[in-house]
Amino acid sequence: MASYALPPMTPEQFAAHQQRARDSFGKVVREANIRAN
Amino acid sequence: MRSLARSLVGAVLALSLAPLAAAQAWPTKSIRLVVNFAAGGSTDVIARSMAQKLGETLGQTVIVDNRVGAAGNIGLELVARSAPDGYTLLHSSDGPILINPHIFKMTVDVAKELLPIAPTAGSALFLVARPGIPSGNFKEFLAYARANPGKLNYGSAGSGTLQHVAIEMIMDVAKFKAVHVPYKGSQQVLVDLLGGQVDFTVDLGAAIPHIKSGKVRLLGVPGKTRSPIFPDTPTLIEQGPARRAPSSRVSTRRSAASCNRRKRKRSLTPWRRTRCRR
Repeated sequence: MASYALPPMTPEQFAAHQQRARDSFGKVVREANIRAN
Repeated sequence: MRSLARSLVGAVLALSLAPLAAAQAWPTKSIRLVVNFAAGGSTDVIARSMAQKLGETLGQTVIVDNRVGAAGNIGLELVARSAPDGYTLLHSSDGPILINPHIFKMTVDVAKELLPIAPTAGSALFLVARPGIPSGNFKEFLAYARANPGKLNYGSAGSGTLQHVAIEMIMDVAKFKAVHVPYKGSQQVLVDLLGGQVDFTVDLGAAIPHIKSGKVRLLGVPGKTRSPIFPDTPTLIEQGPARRAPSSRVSTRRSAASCNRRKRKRSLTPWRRTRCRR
């Protein structure tokens, strides 16, 4: 395992970051037509 | 890890205690930290290390509870349905939180019913290829992949996993195509990469000894910064044209109040009422 510490974030910053990442992943999933096994 | 535990405590307190401050102190009993992957995996190892420090800081036991299955959805849904009182937390990797809602029919709305607390750790990703691929870095690999469209294959731990989506992101940005070979787990991908059946993959760390021994070729590191383990290997962004590339992190969250009307009727604690107003 190659883990590293992340800089601290407030819950609000973290939530905003997560939402952006969720949207970004969603775009890739739709464009690549990724489906569950 | 201690500073992480402290910042996590602060974040949990900020989320949990403000609406409850007049009612009671927190925590007055043990805390359940649900991990939605098996014991021994990276998400679990980080959770157990954190739980110990968190418990020492809080003066309460933090119990790690592995709830495995459905690509992480079992544990995730369990926490989302638990009482939003700060005593049931979820420690999850990004996949179930950020990817699963797009590919599974889930019984909870992750964005609304789980409240993010704090990121706990990042896990480095490594873009690796079998040695037979005639390229020593991402630039050369990209030229080879573009010259041989559809001839390369890549392995992942399964459709919709972080590995799968990460490679699709890389291919999308770098403009090349390869055939996806889904496996049941990342360990099997590595075995077939070493055996030459798989051309390339994104590895989460298991390949490190094989990279060091030369059995697997490290093409680059997805993410914004170089890996301290391989400081001489540039990131994909440095090697271009991958202007963005995924990285993996694990994070902690707790159940949030559901604001749907049915649940509001059933139980309305002061905390829940406050959350529903947001």
